[in-house]
Amino acid sequence: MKYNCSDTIAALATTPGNSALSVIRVSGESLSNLFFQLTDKKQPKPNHVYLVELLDPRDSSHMLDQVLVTYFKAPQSYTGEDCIEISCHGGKLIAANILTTLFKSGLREASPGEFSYRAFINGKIDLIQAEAISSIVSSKTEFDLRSGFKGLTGNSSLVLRETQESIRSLLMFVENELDFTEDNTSNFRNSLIENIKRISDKLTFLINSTLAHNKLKEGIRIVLVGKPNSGKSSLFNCLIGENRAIVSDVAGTTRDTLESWHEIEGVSVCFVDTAGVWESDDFLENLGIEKAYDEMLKADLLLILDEHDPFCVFKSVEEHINVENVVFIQTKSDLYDTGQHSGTCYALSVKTQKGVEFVLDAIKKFIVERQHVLPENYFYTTHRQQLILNNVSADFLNLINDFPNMELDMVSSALWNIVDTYSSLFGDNNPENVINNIFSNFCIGK
Amino acid sequence: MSNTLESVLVVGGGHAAIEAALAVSRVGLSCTLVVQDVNTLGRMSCNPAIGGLAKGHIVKEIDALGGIMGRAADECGIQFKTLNKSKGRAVWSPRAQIDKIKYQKFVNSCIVNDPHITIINDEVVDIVVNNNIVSGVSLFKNGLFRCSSVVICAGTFFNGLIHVGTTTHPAGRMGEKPTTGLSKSLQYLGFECGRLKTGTPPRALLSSVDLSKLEISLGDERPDPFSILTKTPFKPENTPCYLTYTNKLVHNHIHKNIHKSAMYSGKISGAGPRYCPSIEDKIVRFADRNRHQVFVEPEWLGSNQLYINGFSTSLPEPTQLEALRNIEAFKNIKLIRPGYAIEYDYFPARQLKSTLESKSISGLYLAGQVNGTSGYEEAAAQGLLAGANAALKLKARKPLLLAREESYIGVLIDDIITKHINEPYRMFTSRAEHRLNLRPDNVYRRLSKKASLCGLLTNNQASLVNKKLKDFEKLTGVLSSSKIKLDGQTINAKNYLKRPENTLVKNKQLASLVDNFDHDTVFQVETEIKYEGYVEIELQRIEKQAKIENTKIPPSTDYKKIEGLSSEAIERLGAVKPETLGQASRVGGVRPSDVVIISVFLEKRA
Repeated sequence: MKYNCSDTIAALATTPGNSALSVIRVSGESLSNLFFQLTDKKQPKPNHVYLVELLDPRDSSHMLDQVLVTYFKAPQSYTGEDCIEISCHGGKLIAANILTTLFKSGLREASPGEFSYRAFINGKIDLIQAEAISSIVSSKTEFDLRSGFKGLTGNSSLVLRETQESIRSLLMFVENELDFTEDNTSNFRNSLIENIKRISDKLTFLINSTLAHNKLKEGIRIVLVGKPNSGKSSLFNCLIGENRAIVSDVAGTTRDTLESWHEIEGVSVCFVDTAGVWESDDFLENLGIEKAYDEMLKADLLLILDEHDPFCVFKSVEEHINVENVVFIQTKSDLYDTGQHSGTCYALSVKTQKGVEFVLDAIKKFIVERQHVLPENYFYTTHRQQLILNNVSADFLNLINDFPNMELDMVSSALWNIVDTYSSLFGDNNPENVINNIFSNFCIGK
Repeated sequence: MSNTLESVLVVGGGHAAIEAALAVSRVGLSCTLVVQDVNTLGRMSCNPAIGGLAKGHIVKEIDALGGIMGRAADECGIQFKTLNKSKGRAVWSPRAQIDKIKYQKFVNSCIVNDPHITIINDEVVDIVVNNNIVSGVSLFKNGLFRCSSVVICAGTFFNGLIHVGTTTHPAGRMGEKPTTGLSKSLQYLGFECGRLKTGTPPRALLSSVDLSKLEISLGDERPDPFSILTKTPFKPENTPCYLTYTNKLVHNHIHKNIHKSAMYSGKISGAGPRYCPSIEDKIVRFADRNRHQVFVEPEWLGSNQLYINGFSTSLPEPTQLEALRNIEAFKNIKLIRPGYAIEYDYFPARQLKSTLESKSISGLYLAGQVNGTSGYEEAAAQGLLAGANAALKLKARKPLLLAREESYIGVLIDDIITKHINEPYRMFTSRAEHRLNLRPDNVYRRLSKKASLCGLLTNNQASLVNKKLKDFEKLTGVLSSSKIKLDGQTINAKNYLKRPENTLVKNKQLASLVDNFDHDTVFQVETEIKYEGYVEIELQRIEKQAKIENTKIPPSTDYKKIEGLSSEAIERLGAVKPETLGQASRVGGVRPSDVVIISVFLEKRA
């Protein structure tokens, strides 16, 4: 997909459909004339909102709607060009009429992401910020929103730029040695490899931190595990607040896994109910058990349930899990009292609701702690950014590995490659197709 | 006075002018060389050395293009040394200490004996232009001279102003008068003009220096020559140079008198080179350093004159003397000539195409220090390219264009025609982004084919190059199928050679394979194997860049009409008028997004 930056574009910036208001955005080289045609007002003040009757530019006697309209003068606008924002009445018809009129008078309908593309082209945002805008718009939880804002305000750019700066100065350090100093390289090489390792470690830390962050954004998976008929589905229904899973006294009622998404403490959380794990001859049931094991592997938090001894169940599934975070729950406490009310195991009864709140608190505590262990300055990275960071990190590891066999001029060349790859994070090195791909993931009007 | 129309006139007598005149002749046209003073033809005006970091690479490239500098250096060198030996073969830089008098004589004889070159002792005062096409020049003594092409290599002579302390006098070099008319003529033709400065250190009387108090510095025992024409075995002189250091007393004295320095009293308006700083600069900018190196070099064999390398200065002569006398070996030093700074006019080279022809006036070429560069090697390279292109154009042949990825000269020319230069430009290896492939060893493989197509190589040169290329292929073939035994294991010879410490001659199993090849071929093949993997990655980078490098921008492009370009980009691109998208991307102030916009604009036009 290719964008053309030489004409005036317009698009609906809000979701189409029934709403109180709709916003139409217009961006182009010089819009004061268009503003005059639309509003009959000459020389509008930038950043001022006017209440006007919106006119058809081709026929000023024809009123389209009574609207609030704002004029932004380049470069103080979202796109860096002149912009007009029209807040018209909601509903499908009015906004569509206005847009049709605008297109008839020569404006072009914006492609998805085209406003942000122009903002990027005009130096208003870098690629990281552009991707953050895309992320804010598609945010489902408060956590998404917060990480999006970090990208938008340039916070993540800042951390990524910092690392870019240290790689660049490393390269300059090498270049200086190659071009300006006398032969005396053994000390230099020692301090060089130390610096390379330091940056490589920093990069690994950065990648791990952003991965942890990404994980939170993608959602925390909480998986319920236990033998058949241990009350997993009952607790599942209780936690999600509706009767999703079929509950019966028959062992092996749940054959497939069930998912339910919620927002807890501002983070996406997915509860997963699984088939009870036990030896079965039933083909279908065995398929369900396989799936249960898969879910255990993907889990961030395991709830292990048993009416008698959840620790025993844990031992039998231990080899199938790779998380450290497990909550032990003794179910059906109204029927059985095993005396296991220690700090490591919660006793509850879904029937009487006794003890359920403690399990909920434990889950909330887990989620809050997950957010707290995130280093202060870290942020969500898109798949594209993550790929680039991984490539750079791999290049660093190769460099460290090959260093003893490399002459200084080769080291410099490797660092040049790294700098080159790294700068594609920001769109600094002009890969036209990458840029166009990013912007085409936007919704229209952004 | 008139001449046949199909001739090139070269203005100047330095390194650029000489390579230009010889290149015109090799392409097969007649050339008129206008020199102010025939006795100064081929003079080395500053340091008695050729080559060095990155400059040595350029000398090798000049040789591969059929130029004379490498051959002259081999002929007249009195000490040879490869610098940067511990940092990888791509940055090994050959350097030669030169007998200046011998060099001037040698170069002179090459010019005088060339049947295509006529020398005129005169000064060009004006360029005659009709409809933006050069039609001749006005000579001070001989009047109008018709010609179809002019290559200007005036060095530091344009409005040259010499500063020694607070006194100044107009001069082109010490003892030679400057030129004033031609600079004015160029400005009248619309050329933008700027001011730069450079400096040179004092020359001392040999008998006044106590050599026993200096460290001796010798060259390599078995050096390689610069030129393919130089016969092997190469056994040049290995004349000692000397090394000493400045000290606190020297620094204090200069500090105390810094206001007397032409550069620090604000008398010089031109910007000086950051990379070849004067001693005043070094002391002010690196105040924490207790000492700086000073090389003491003979200017020619048997010379009574020493070049005090590293002590370039524009302080008054008495201050120079007093400062130097704080160094033990210089207690009784006498100067034959003080150090001085020279300010001169230059014409920012963004006004030129990559052939070094003016973008606005057909047939007018500029080369060397007038383009804002510094150094013999940089000047010579431009002279060669400008001379060759002036001649090729008259013969209606394809121009000689060198790309960044194939040569240092290509990097040099691309840099000066796209970048904003505000200090004399000198070459560094770090300016070449494809440095690993731009090695001194593979220079003939990189450039000789182009040179040969342009007619720049003599039959003798061409056949020597061919033999070199064939030997390389042959030995590469032998090695790619060779295996050796190492610690009981059989491994490919190539893999063995990739390790930095391993060489062909060191290994007994391999040494017998290379018996029939000369040292240079062995070195080339070995180096090629060592750099193979890295060069491969560079080539991928070049390929990625190729699309924008090859996209031409029509000269008539009006950047104001390209919507979305930043205003800074519009201004800079309008001034530079780059020939390709690649050049545009390197113009200062142009952002990657601007390049995208231009590329979209060009596609729409296409």
